[in-house]
Amino acid sequence: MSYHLLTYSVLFLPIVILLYQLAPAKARWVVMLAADYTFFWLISGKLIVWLLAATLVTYVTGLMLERFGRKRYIVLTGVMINLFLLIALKYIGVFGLSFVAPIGISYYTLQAIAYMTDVYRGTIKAERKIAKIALYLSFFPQIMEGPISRFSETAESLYAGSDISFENLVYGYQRIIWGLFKKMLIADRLAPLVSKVFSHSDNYDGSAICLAMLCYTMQLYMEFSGCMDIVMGSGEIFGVKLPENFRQPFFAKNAGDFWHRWHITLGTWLKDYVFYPISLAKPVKKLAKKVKLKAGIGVSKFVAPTIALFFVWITNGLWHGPKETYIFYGMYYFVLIFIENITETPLKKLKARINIKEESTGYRIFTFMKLFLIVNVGELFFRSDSVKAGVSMIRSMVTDFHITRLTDITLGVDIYDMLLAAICIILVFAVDVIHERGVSIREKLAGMRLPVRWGVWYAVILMIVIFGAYGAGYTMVDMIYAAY
Amino acid sequence: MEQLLEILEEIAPGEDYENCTTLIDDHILDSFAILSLVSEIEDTFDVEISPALLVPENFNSAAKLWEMICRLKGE
Repeated sequence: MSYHLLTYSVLFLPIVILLYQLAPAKARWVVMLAADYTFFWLISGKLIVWLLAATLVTYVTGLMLERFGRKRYIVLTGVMINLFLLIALKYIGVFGLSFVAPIGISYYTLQAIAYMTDVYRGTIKAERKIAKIALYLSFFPQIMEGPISRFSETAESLYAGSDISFENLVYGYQRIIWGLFKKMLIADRLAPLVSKVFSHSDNYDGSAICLAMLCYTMQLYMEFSGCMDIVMGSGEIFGVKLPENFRQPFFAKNAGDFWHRWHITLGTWLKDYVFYPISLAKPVKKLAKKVKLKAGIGVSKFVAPTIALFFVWITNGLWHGPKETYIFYGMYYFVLIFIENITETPLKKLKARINIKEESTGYRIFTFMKLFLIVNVGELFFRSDSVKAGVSMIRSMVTDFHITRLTDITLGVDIYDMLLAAICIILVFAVDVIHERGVSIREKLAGMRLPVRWGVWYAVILMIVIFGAYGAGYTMVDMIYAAY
Repeated sequence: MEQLLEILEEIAPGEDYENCTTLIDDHILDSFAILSLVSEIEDTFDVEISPALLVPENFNSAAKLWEMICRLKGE
């Protein structure tokens, strides 16, 4: 079972919708929880026991914080047990031991930690109904790839059992279709090329590697944001508003801004539960004060954020898995964002002095190209088998780039695949441009006449049916972020 | 309040801090600026700001920030 399969959108989801709507409002949370656990069973089998353990620990920790006061040792115990389960199941393989981690553990563990910490901080009250905690941690549309939501964002609506409105049903399925479009027409069509070149990069010259790098970035964006469209649409059907995970990331001003637009909920989680607590920790503040006395505020203001930033990015890298490439990926962004932070003020002054206007088209094109390069190089290392292989691929692109050779080699896709993917990418980016201008396409479409409205959606469905990468000749491509 | 407005002006100059109510929502203060602000507030007003207080409700306007400082001083 996976969100991009027909068994999800035309079988599992409609059955849940039907049972949910037929059930009395008070019992709908039971239907939802049964659907959540059935889905989890279908993707992870008996490993569901770990989800149940995390749910119980999270629930009991919340109650204890309420019963015995917001004691640090209580929240630490709850957080450590959840982290221990995550580390034991996901990372212990590094030491040669064999454990299987359930799909989704990286997402529900972060949600569990957020809940316990928020109860400890007093920003939310401990929940007395275990069902709400269970629903919050296991909501089937978000269990595989997030988004990482907060208890206050989803728990009430998951438990409420509101009617499914026709509007929500239509809006939800529209978004699911858009997600399938991105996944099946772009991501899965580019997947064979990416897989072929990245697994045997030594056999290819710089031009093929460059093409694979660009295709992988597009594959990852279309696949992850497409999956999020399916997830958000599924939630919308049940009246559950999940937090957005993407906001036109390629229109960011710099690497820091990019991470405010790409995998947003992981970024905000890291900000709230790693960045701020480390920045405001007493030893870090003491160190910043010492630096302030010796070097002034101009230097000291970077001390706490930089130390915290290091931990944010090492956590980000490790969260993806125990691989050197993920740690490198984290450190890559740590260095880039650190440089951006310390050069922000001098660059602003320089731009003012030489009269460079940030709003000018030329500067915006430069910013886009710079960010696009940064993101692509980062994703190349992220996808590489090792840092060494990544370095070697970069070297090939610099020293052995022969674009004319591209026509002589087999890359696992033909010219029509590439052409179709390119057209669809342009379409997605056109939609991104419109969203960046603050216009909601769905609302615009909803205001149009019925034939136009349905014509557009039928066209998208037909494109998926006719041009989607599925059936004979295609290997099913698993959801990339479900592996993290 | 005057002191707070001076601190804000020093950290991120050129904003209308007396009237702006979307300092966080409109990304006028980013996480680096928030930390600088916290450090300055702690030093100037002799209060301690915990991570739990770093939420938009407390940082979206100078008035909300001032409310938080008064609350902390009263504790």
